[in-house]
Amino acid sequence: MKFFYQKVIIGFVILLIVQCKEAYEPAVQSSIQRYLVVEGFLNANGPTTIKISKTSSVLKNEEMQPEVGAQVRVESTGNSVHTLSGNTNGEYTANIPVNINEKYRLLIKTSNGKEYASAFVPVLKTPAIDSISWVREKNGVQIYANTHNPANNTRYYKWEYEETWEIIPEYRSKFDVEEFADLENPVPPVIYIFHPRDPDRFPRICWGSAKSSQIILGSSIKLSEDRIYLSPLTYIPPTSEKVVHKYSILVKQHAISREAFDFLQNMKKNTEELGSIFDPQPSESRGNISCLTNPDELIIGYFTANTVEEKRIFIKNEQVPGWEYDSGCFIKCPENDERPCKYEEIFPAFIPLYRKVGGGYTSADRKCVDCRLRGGDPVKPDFWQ
Amino acid sequence: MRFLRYFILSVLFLLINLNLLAQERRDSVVTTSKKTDFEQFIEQLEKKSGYRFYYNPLHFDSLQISIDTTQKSLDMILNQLLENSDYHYIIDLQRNIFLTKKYEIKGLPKEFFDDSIATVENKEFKIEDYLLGSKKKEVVSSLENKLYELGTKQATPKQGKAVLVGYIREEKTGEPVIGATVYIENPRIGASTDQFGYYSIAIPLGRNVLYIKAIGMKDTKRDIVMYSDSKLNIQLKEQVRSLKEVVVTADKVANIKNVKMGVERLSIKTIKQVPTVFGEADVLRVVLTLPGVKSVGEASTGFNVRGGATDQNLILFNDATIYNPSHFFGFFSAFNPDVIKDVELYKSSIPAKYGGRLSSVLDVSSREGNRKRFSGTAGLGLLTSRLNIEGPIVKDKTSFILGGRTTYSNWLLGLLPEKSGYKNSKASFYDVDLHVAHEFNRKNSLYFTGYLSNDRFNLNSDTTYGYNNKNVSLKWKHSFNNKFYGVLITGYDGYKYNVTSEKNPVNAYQLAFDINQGNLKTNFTYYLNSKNTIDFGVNSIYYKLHPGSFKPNGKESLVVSDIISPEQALESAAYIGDRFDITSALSLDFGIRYSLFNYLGPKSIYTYPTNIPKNEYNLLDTVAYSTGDLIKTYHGPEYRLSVRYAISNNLSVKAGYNTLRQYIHMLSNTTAIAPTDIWKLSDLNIRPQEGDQLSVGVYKNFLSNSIETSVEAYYKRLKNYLDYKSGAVLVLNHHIETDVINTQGKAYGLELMIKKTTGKLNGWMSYTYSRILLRMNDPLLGQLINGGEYYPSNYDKPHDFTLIGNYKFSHRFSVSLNTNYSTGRPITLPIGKYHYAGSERVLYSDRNQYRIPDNFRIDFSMNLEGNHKVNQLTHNSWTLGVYNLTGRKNPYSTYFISENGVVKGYKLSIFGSQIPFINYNIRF
Repeated sequence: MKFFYQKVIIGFVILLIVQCKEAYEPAVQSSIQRYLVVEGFLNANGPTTIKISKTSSVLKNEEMQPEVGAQVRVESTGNSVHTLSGNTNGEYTANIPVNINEKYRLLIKTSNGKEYASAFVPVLKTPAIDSISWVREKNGVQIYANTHNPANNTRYYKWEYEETWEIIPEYRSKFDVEEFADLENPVPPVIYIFHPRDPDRFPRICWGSAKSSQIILGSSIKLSEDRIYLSPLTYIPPTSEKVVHKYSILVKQHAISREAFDFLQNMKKNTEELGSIFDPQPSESRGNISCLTNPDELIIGYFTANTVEEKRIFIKNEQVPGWEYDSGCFIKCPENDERPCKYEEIFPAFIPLYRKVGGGYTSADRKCVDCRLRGGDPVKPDFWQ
Repeated sequence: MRFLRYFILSVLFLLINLNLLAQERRDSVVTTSKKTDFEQFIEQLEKKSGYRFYYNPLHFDSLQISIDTTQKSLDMILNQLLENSDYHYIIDLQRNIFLTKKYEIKGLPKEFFDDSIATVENKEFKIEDYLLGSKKKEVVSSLENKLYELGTKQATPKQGKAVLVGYIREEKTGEPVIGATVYIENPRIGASTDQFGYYSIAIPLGRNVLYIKAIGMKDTKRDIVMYSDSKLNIQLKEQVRSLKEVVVTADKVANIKNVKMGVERLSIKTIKQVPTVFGEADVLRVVLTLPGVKSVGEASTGFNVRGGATDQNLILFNDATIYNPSHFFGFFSAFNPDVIKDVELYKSSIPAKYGGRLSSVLDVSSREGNRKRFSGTAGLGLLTSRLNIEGPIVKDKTSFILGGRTTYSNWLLGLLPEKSGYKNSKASFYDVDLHVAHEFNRKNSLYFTGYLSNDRFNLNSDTTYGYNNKNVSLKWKHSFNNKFYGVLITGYDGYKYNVTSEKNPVNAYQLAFDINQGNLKTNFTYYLNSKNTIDFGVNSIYYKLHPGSFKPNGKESLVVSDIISPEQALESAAYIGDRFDITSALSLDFGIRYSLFNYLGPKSIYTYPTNIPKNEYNLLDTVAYSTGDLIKTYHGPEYRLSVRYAISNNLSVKAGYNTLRQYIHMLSNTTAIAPTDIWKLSDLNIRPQEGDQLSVGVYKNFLSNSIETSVEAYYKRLKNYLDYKSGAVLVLNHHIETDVINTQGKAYGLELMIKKTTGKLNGWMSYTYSRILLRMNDPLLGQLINGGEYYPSNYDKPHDFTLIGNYKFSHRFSVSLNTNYSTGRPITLPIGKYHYAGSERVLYSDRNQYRIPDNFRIDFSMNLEGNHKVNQLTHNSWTLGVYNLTGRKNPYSTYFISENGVVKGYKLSIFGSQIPFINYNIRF
C-alpha cells in the first residue's frame, strides 16, 4: 500500500489554475431592438425643437440613428394642433403659440406607421434666473445658478448651458503649406509647396463653444421657500483653455415637474454615475411617452412644457489670476538653434513660422497656429462683447 | 499487531468459555484507604477475598488506587474502581477475576441463571456478564446488558413518572454527543441531547429500556429501573465499520421524529467526504449542496437560504456571530475543519432562542478537546496547512483544542499568466481557534471559545485589502436540578476591514470599517413533564459600528479625512418556547420571541420630508442626539410554530410558520459577501426587515430507515428588504438612506431530497425549484423599479440539482463525487445606446431581466487511509481529486466595458479547467 501512495505522489501533476476571460455576447444582443428616443420640450416663449432618434447597438460602433420622416404634432386640451417640420437630423421644429392655462401633449407618427403620444402636461412658468455666480475652487472656476420663485410652486429645476470662449493662436505664420499627392512617385506620397502666407488663411481669433453634456438638476423641495442658492452648473478646471482669454456661459433654466425630475435623475444615475463593475445595477424608468399600438414598448424621453429663462455672464482672464493653462505650444527650431531645420524635418506635424537668418525655418505645432484646429469658429458670435 | 490482540482475546474466551456463572460476591473486604499502587492493591484484595486476579500488569502500571474498601463487597469495590475507565472485569465460577483494558469479556446476565431479579442495596449493582463464546463476534458493550437501578428505592413501588437526565458522551474522547435521540418505546417518549450532550426525559417509574441513537455513533440501549428522578451518563461508541460482521440496525429516525422542519445537520465526517476545490474540507461549501441553499457564484462564500440575502443568515460559531465566514475571496471558509464537530442549518423552523436574521441560522459547533489524552491532527494541502492539538488540562475535567490554519498561496498567484492582471498579487490568511471546556462538577461546566481570522490581499495594485473576525465567548452551564438547567453566555464579536494605499505618498489613504458587538445571553431549559420541554431566556446585543473612516496614510498624504460618526444600538429579546408532545404521533413546537431595538445616540441624523423620495436634494435637516439618547425604537413579536404528525414509524408530515425581524443590514456592492461590504443598523430612516415563512413537508424513510426522503415546500414574504437605487454609493456615504430603497419580496420553492445514510454507497441527491422576487411599487419612496412589477433578485436561481455520492470500496479506499447544476443568476444588460441631453448614454434592460449561462460542475475525489493499526505513532491519510472534472467554463461574472466607443461584454470564469488537488492528513 505504501508503494501505491508513493506512486500517487510521483504521478501527481501540480495544479495549474487558469482564470479565463472570454468574450461574452448575451443572446439578447443578436437581435437588436431599436427603441424610440424623444428629447425636447414645448417652449412657451421660443421655438420648440423635438429631437427623435433610435437607440443603436452597444456592441457595434454605430452612428446615431435619427428618426426622419415622422409626423410630429403638439396638441392641446383646447384642441389646437400644431405640426412641427423635420430635417434630416431627426429634429422637428415649430414656433408654437402657447396658452399657459391649457395642457399639451406630443403626438408622433413614425414613417413605419407607429403612433406615439405623451401624457398631457401643464405649461410651467419658469422663474427668472437671479444670477449666475462663480467662485475660484481648487484654482479652477465653479459656476452656480441662483434663482427663486416667490410663489413657491416651481421647486424642481433643470439647467442647460452653452459655453463660448476666445481662442487666440499662440503663433502666427508667414507661410502657408499646400499638400499635393505626387501621383507619379508615390514615395514620398505627399509633396509640400511653400508660398507666402495668405493673410486670411489663419484667423487671428476663433471662438470655441460647447453645450452642456450632463443632466443638471436642482430642487428646493427641502426648503421652506422656493429658493435655489449656489446650485452647481459646471466646473472649469484650471488647466482648461476656456478662460485663457475670455469666457462666456449662457444658462437656460427650465421649471420641470417632479415626475420629470425623477425621470431625469434616474437617467443621470444610470448613465453618468456608473463607473466600476462594483457599482449596483442600474434600472430604467419609463417616461411619459408611450406607443399607442403597443403600450409595453419602451420609449425613452419625457415631454415637458415650460417657458425658458436665460442669463449670460462673461469671465475674463484678468478675473482669474494664476490661471494654470499650458497650451503646450513651443517654437521648434528657434533662432538660436544651430540645426539646419529643413522643412523635411518640420513637416507635416509643424508649420513654419518664418525663415531664419542662417537658413531653415522656425516652426510650431499646427494647433498653435490655426485656431480652427482647436474647434474654434473664426466668426464672431453676435453676443460677444 | 491488531490480529495478535484478537488472537489473545479469543484464547482467553475459549479458556473461560461458558463455564462462567453468576455468583454472589458479598465477601466483605477490608483494606487500607491509602494511595497504593495497583499491584499491591490487587495482592491485598486476593488475600482478603480469596479470589484470584488475572491481568496484564503493563495495562495497569500507571493506575493509582485511592479507594475506601471498608465494609464493601468485592463487586462494589471493583465497580467503584473501574467506573468511568476503560478497564473492565469479569468473574468466573472458579473465583477467578479477569481484568482487561479496552476490551471487555462478555458474560451472561445474572438472570440467565437466576429467576429472581437481583436486588442489591447499593444503587449500582452489576449483573454478571456473559461470554458470547464465539471468537469472531465483535465485543459488544456489556453495559447494554446491565440493569441500572436509578433513584432512591422506595419501600412501596410507586406509579407515575420521573425525570432522567444526564450527559451523552463519546466514549473515547469524552466529547458530548449533540442531537442524540434518547427514547423508550412503550409508551413512546423521546428526547434529544442539546449542544452539551445533555438530555432530560420523563419516563414511567419502573422497568424501562432506554434507547440511544446518534449520528455516527453505535446505537445502544440501557435497561433501567427507575425509582425516582435520577441521573445517568451514557457513553457512546463511535460507529466503527472495520468489523464486517457487525450488523448495524440503524433506526435513524431523526428526520421523521424531529418536530422542527428544514433542519439539516452535517457532521464533519460527512463534510469531509465532499470534494472541494483545493481538497480541504469546507463547511460552507457543503452547506451549499443542501436543498434550498445557493450562492451567486463559484468562489463566493456568502450563501442564500430560501431566497434570503447573504446578510440574512445568522452564522454562529459556538454562539459567537461570524460576520465574514470566508477567506481568500471566498475560496475557503473561515472554519477550520479539524476543530469542527458539526454544523446545523435551520432554514425553516428557527428556534425561538435565535433571532436577528431573516433567513436562517447556521450553527457551527466545535469539538471539545479530548478529555483523556493528548492528540492532534495536521493537514498539508497545496495552498493551506493546518495543525490542531487537543488534550486534557485536568484529565476528565478540563480539556482544550487549539487549531490553526495558514496559507501559502502566493506561489499560485505567481503562476498566473501575465495577461491575467493578477500575477503580482499577494494574498494571505490565517485563523486560530481555541476551545476550552471545564467541568467543575456535575452541575457546573464552563466553555471558552476564542476565534481569530485574518485576511490580507493585494490584487496587483498598490491597494491592500484586509479584514478580520475576532470572537471571544464564555459559556457557563448550570443545572439547578434534574429538570431545570440554564446557560449564561457572554462574549465579544468583532469584524473589521481596511483598505490601504501607500504607493503614492500624496494620495496614500486608509479606509476602514468595523463592527463590534457585546453579547449577553441566558437560555434556560425546563423539562416540565414528559410532554413539555420549555425553553426561555433573555438575549441582549450591544452594537457599536464605525461605518467608515477615510484617513491620510503617512505624513506626506494630502488626503482629507472623512469620518462617519459611529452608530450604536441595543438589540434585546425575550423568548419562551415549548415542545409539546400531545400524543406520541402529534407534537407541537411553538414559541414567541419579542425583540426590541434601540438606536442610540450620540449621532447626527438627517431628516427628510415625508411622502417624497429620500434623496440628496431633499435633505431637510440634521438632528444631533447626544450620548444615551434613544433615537429610534423598533419592537415587535416573532412567532415560531411547527407541528409534526407521525403517520407511521417511517412517515410523517410537518408544517411550520415563522416570523422574524432583522435590525442590521449588509450593504453590498456585489451579490456575494465581499470584503468591502459594510453593515448598517436600522435607524430613523432605515426600517428593520421583516419576514415570515409558511412551510409544509412530508418525510418518508425506506429500507429500515436507511433511505430518507423528504419534500418540503415554502412560501415566504419579505418586508423592507433593502435594494439599491441606480448608481448607489455605499462607501463613505453620510446619508446612505438616499441610495437604498425598501422593497417587498416574496419567495417560494419546493425542495426534494433523497438521502442514503448508511452502506457502502451513501450520499444525497437534491433538487430545488425556488424563486425570489422583489417589488418596489411605492412611488413615494423613489423611482419604481421595472415599473413597479416583481423582478427577480440577484440570486434568483430557479433550478438547482445536487448529487453527492460516496462509495467505499474498502475501509481504506473510498471515492466521492459532487455534481451540481444550477440556473445562471439574473443580470441587467446594456441593450442599446442613445443620445440625450448632450451625451451618448447606455440603455439598460429591465433590472435582472437576463441571466448568465447555467452552471454545471462535477468534482471527484479519492480518500486513501493508511493502515488501521491502533498503536502507531501517526495515522495518515491522503485526499486527492479533481475539481471541475469536465473543465466547463462556468461564468463567475459577466461585465461590460466600453472599448473604443463599443461596449464589450466579457465572461469571467475562475475555475475554467480541471483542477487537480492533493491533501495529506496526519492524526497523532
